[in-house]
Parts: sequence; C-alpha cells; structure tokens
Amino acid sequence: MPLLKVENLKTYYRVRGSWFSPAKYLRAVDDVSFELEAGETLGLVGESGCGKSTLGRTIIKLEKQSGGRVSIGGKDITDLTGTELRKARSGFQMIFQDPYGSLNPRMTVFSALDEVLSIHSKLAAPARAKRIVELLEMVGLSAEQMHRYPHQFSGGQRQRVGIARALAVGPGLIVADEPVSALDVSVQAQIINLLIEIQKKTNVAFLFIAHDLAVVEHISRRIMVMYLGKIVESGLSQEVTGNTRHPYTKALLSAVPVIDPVTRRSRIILPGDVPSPMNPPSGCPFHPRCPLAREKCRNEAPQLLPVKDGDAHLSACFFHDEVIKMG
Amino acid sequence: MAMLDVKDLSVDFLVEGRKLPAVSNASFSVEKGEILALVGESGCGKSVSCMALARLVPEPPGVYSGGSITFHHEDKTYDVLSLDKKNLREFRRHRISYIFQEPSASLNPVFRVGEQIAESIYLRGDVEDEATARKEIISVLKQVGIAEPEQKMLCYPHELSGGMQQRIMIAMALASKPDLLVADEPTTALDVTIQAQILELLREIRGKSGMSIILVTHNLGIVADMADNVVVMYAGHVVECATAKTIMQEPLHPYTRALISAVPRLQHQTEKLSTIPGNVPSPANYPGGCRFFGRCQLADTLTADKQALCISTIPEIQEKRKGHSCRCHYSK
Ligand SMILES: Nc1ncnc2c1ncn2[C@@H]1O[C@H](COP(=O)(O)OP(=O)(O)O)[C@@H](O)[C@H]1O
Ligand SMILES: Nc1ncnc2c1ncn2[C@@H]1O[C@H](COP(=O)(O)OP(=O)(O)O)[C@@H](O)[C@H]1O
Ligand code: SF4
Ligand code: SF4
Ligand SMILES: [Mg+2]
Ligand SMILES: [Mg+2]
Repeated sequence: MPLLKVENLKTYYRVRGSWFSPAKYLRAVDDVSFELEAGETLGLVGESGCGKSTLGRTIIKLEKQSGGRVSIGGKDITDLTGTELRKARSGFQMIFQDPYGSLNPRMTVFSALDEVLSIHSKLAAPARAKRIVELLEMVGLSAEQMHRYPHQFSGGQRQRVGIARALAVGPGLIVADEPVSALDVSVQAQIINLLIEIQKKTNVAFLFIAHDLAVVEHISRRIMVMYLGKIVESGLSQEVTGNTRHPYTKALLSAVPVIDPVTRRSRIILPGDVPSPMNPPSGCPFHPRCPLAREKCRNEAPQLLPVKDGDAHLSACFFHDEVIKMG
Repeated sequence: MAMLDVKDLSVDFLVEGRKLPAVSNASFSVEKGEILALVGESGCGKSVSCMALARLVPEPPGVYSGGSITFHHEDKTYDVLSLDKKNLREFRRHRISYIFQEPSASLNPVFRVGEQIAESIYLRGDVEDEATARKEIISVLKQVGIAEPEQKMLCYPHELSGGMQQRIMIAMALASKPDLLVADEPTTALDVTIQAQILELLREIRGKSGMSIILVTHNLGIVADMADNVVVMYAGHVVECATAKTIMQEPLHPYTRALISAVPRLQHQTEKLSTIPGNVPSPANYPGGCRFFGRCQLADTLTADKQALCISTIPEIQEKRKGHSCRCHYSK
C-alpha cells in the first residue's frame, strides 16, 4: 500500500468576474493522480504558475480541494475537519522556500519547537526538551543555538530550523516546497545532503518541489512534470531525464545551464510565458509553445498514458516517440 | 589597454563606528565586447563591486577607501573615483547601464514602459523629436523579443509578467547604448525557460553591438555557458581570475573548486554532493589571515605550522600561470 494516494485531485480558485461577466474558475490543479511510497522522494517540477505549490498545499489540506481524493497511510483524509484533521496533521508536514515567513520572529527556536511538540505529542516538558535537542542535532544545529531568534540565523540555518520543526511530530510525509531555491549552491548542497540523510534515518517520504531539474534529479527516485495544472510526464528520474517523453520536459532540461561542456545540449528556447490557467489553450495545453505541435494537438487533449503498455513511465503527448529526436 | 580597469579597489561601510570591509583590494578588467562573470556566494561583495563602477555605492555609509577605476572610451579616459559631478553624470548616462534581479529596482510603477524607455533615449542627448524616439522604442522592444511593441509600450509595469518586465528593463538599459552593461543576477528570480530566453538575448546583444557585459551570478552553469572570463569573489576578495574554460576545468583556488563540486549535475547521480562547511563570514568577523580559512579543505590537509601562515597572513593574489591568478598561499 502506498503511503500517499492522490486520485483525480482538483483545486479550482474562484476568480471574481467583472460586474457584467460571471465569476470564472482558475484550474490550478486539474485532475492529478499519483502515488508515493514510504521513504521515497518524488520530485515535482514545472515553471512558476503551473500549480506545484497548490498541489502540495491541497494534499496536506492547507487548500480546499474542488474534487478528488487524498489518502495518507491508507486513511482517506479528504473530508477530515476539526479535531480529526488536527490529529491527522502530525502525519504530514510542509517546509517552505522562505522559512523566515513561516517562523514566528518573536519566538526562539526552542519555544517554536516546544509549541509544536506540546500540540502534537503527549510528552511532558523534560521529554520535550530532550526531543528538541535531538531534533536540532539531526538538522546539524547545536543545542546552544536553540535560544536564538530566527533573524539570528543565516538562510541555510533557518532552513534547518524549518526542517526541524517539520520533523518534530515524526511525520510520514513532508511536502518540501522549493526548500533550496533561495540558497547559495554551497548551502543548497548541505541542505540536500541533510534531507537525504534524514530520510535514511526516519523513512520519511518527500514530495520535493523545485524548479531546478538537476537538484530534483539528484534527490528524487521519481519525477513528475507539471504544466498548467496537469501532470504531463512522470517516471523514474533517470527515465524522465534520460529517455524524455514530453516536449515540455525536454525544453526544461535543455534550458538548465550546465557546467560540463561535454553534456551541453542544443538549447530549445520556448517562446513566451506559461499561459493563464484562466483561459487554457484548446487541445493539448502545451501546443502554443510546443515545437512538435500540429493540427491534432490543437483539437484533442492528450491523456497521461504509459509510454509502452504497462510501463511506469507516463507521458501526455500524442507524439512522445518523436521527443528523442528533438536534440 | 582594457576598456575598464579596476585596480586594488576597496570599499568599506561605516556602521556604528566600525569600518566594515565589503570589498578589499579587488582588481579586474574588462575588454571591449567581453562577457566577464563575477561569481561567489551571497555577501561576497559582487554587487558592491558593480555599484562602485559608476560610484553608486551610497556615501555614507559607504567609503571608497582605496584603489582606482579607469574607463577608456575612444580617446577619453574616465578616472571614475575622482570625476567631478558633471563628468560623473555624463559617464553614468553614456558609458554604463545596469540591470538588476528585481525589475522593480529600475522600473517606475506610475509611468508607462514606453515613457521610461524614451527617458533613456532622451538622456543620451542625440535624439530630440518624439517620432524618432518612438521608432527607437519600438525597435529596442523588438530587439528584446517583445511581441506587439506598439501595444506593450503603453502598458504599466504591473500589467506585464516578470519575464516581460525583465525584458523592459534590458530594453531601457540598451536604449542608452552603453559601452558596458552590468547585469547583477538578472535571471536569479526567473524560471529556467525564461532565464534561457534572457541569456540568449544578452549573448545576441553582445554579438551584434559589441557591448561589454559584466554578469553577476551564483550559477556556475551560467558562467560556463556565457562568460569569456571569470572573477571569483570570496568575502570581499577576488580569489581567482581566469578564462571561463580554465576556471571550469582547472580551478586553482580551494574555494572555486568547492563551489564547482557543490553543483548537482544532470545525469551524474552521486550519492552525496560535496559541500562547503559553514557560511561566508560577515565583514565584521573576517579572520585576520586568509578569509577562507575555517571552510578550506586544502588547509585541513596542511600541517599546523603551514596552517599558521593561512591564519596570520592574507595571501596576495598572484599570477600562477599566464592569465590565471589565484589568492592562496598553497595552491599550485
Ligand atoms: N489563492 C489563490 N487565488 C487565486 N489564484 C491562485 C491562488 N493561489 C495560486 N493561484 C493561481 O494558481 C496557479 C498555480 O499557482 P501555484 O500553485 O502557486 O504555482 P507554482 O507553485 O507552480 O508556481 C497560478 O496561476 C496562480 O496565480
Ligand atoms: N548599504 C550597506 N550598508 C552596510 N553594509 C552593506 C551595505 N551594502 C552591502 N553591505 C555589505 O557588503 C558586503 C557585500 O555585499 P554585496 O556586494 O551585496 O554582496 P553580494 O552581491 O556578493 O551578495 C555584505 O557583507 C553586505 O552586508
Ligand atoms: S500533444 Fe502535441 S502539442 Fe502537446 S506536447 Fe505533444 S506534440 Fe506538443
Ligand atoms: S591560503 Fe590557506 S586557508 Fe586560504 S585558501 Fe589557501 S590553503 Fe586555504
Ligand atoms: Mg510555488
Ligand atoms: Mg548581490
């Protein structure tokens, strides 16, 4: 049984119309299904505005779904509210790009962690203090730093505090929303190694959101690529990056500036920006920017299907076997 | 003779009675048509070095405490740090333009983008009538890849996407026809796809107009992709300078080596990324000797009496091979 099962999840935002046109719906997440095993990392990539954060937030119930179901550890959490939801929350946590925004500036690290532990655990004060020291140690901070305030830490250290807080209640799943995007490479590498190490120790599963494909590939066993609220490709990391089956993934890969001249690919420059999810294009939503687009793509919407029968590698492109030739 | 020559530049900030060194004895140069990359972690002095080039570091708290910045244009020489007001204004208008990470740093929210580009054109002083300016606005908008320029020039900044605003800012910088474009992390906040568009654009501009570009970035992939030469900065010091190819393939300084090996690479699955332990010290806490000591892996392999030199003495930057200099007592 998978740890996380997401079925046909939809999150629509109601956007107010002007006084002569009715309200419209923005389909931020549009019929997404996938599974995640315990102890596994699943990477989620796509340009900004594609719906990555909304998907992550909907799964852990920070955003209300418009349809579909989410179960964690076999328990359907879709309709939980009140006390039941609060209880379930210790099973899933989130870490953010800017831990500063999610930490209370007037609380020391110790009080922030102590608060989380007193809400979600039955530990008495001395046991909580012991656990806090353990958590800080796990994220590479020293016990003497626990009486500091968030502004007294560097960006990388604050991210460690954010991770410690997410780990405090021993969750099975952490949604990590761009946790290293704002960090320098050197510090980014420290945090990535830390996440991998923590996963080995605690068997926590990560839904790891990032826009840097090299980072995502490094940390993830599997990758999902999202475009305009839909998953357009998914599979094992080395399949998605090495045997790419969607032109959008291919374009994202070719846009990553690489160090080694040997692996430098010919660049596919995508024209324009992501279209507004308010008015998604007809047919395949990627067709206005797709170098392989043709008549059929303008009229029919491709489904996310196995590349070969029974394959775990999925693509939502009619012409996925032509992607290999894209250079 | 290089177009821009920075020699032993030092910039300090006076904060609460203390003098904090943001840039110390930095030297580098830029040739006409060259793309020079400035790399290093945040806080290493990249932006301050760039701002200093047009004397844009606010004084106070900033103090230009040493060195020189010399700029050549045809037979004119600008000694930037000692220009009078009039010549400094002329230098800023005609020789150098900046683009920043945040378009909001350059775009004024209450003016239409067309008006803002016109401003750059008029400031040049060679265009006075509206019709010519309008033609030029449209052409520069086309150059930065904006479709429907006649319509877009009438938009206010907030009506455009982040990538589009970035292009408008570049258009403004280009409209002033500078000799040197300073791009301070111009794509850090953008998606890789939009980043690729902007970098392609910068490359094209350099190719067409022969403009020189200083590109500040912490992304070594961008350096490898774009730069002719590289200056690596650490804690206010220039620690290594060479061609981009040399920096990527035979880096000498332990800091440069560490930076390069911390980058995750596509299809290079290694179990563990190498990291640089700790953080860049802040100027108030710079060690007395080599500023990289404490994070340096090379120093960790040295005997205590060799380390003593790292601790006591700031290494001089030295040319170790032709066109390749490095600031370290012990690198080969
Ligand atoms: N609270 C909200 N109300 C209305 N639209 C929203 C809201 N949050 C996000 N959106 C829209 O949903 C889409 C997906 O956003 P997001 O999930 O933040 O994307 P990503 O994380 O991939 O950048 C975007 O078009 C965004 O503007
Ligand atoms: N206005 C200022 N007042 C005081 N210190 C400053 C100011 N601007 C920059 N600094 C300091 O100068 C150093 C170099 O900063 P900066 O050039 O912005 O670094 P980078 O661009 O490499 O990230 C940093 O330690 C920074 O805190
Ligand atoms: S279905 Fe057509 S438009 Fe969509 S990704 Fe495939 S080729 Fe491109
Ligand atoms: S001088 Fe010493 S501490 Fe500094 S970089 Fe060289 S070996 Fe490392
Ligand atoms: Mg997001
Ligand atoms: Mg900077």
